[in-house]
Amino acid sequence: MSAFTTLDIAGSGMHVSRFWLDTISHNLANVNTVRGGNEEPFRAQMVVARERLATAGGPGRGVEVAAVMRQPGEPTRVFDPDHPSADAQGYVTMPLVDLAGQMTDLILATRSYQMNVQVLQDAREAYQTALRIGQR
Amino acid sequence: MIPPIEPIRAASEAALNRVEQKPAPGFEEGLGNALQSLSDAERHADAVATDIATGGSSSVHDLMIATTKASLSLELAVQVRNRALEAYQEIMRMQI
Repeated sequence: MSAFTTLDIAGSGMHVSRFWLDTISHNLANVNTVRGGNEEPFRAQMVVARERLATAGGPGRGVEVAAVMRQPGEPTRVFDPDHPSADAQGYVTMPLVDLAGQMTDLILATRSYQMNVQVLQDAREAYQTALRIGQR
Repeated sequence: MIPPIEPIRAASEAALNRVEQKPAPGFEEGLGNALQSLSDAERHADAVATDIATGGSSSVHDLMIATTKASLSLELAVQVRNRALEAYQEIMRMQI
């Protein structure tokens, strides 16, 4: 319904924040995912957010997930000949997850979600105030 | 060369016909639309709740937003009804 647009915009922010939380959860769950010596390592997922634009001149329509990127960089090869997925030289590839960065992102994503919930609650109160206009 | 002057009758007849094409939507229609959107909001909230209960892809906040919208729509409909009723009673109390 177009009468309560703020709720939809806050909802889009919540959706992206939850998506972000999901990717952080995925990255942290894969923090021990070791691959073979010559294989591509697990690379942390990164969410790319994009503004959702209105049609003409009005306020925006919130945010959406544009893409999911993978963390770039050179993986570290570790010598571990007893590992079942080690290659002929005895090396395995460690995952590319920045643990400290993921934890700070976790705080940011949680706060971002809470922020959007707060916006939604305030918007609901504002709408309810509007509905009390002229009440006797 | 000056173009010949055309009679204005055809244009004015068209304009006259256009005026009585569509009356403005009355109060009844507006109330009907409001009730329709209230019903839509409630049905949507129901659908999201069912989706979550049956393990669908909807999130918890989707349900909360849908129910919030439904409750705001209901409140809006109730307020509109109150105002309409007040106006009606005001007219009925009028001394003739």
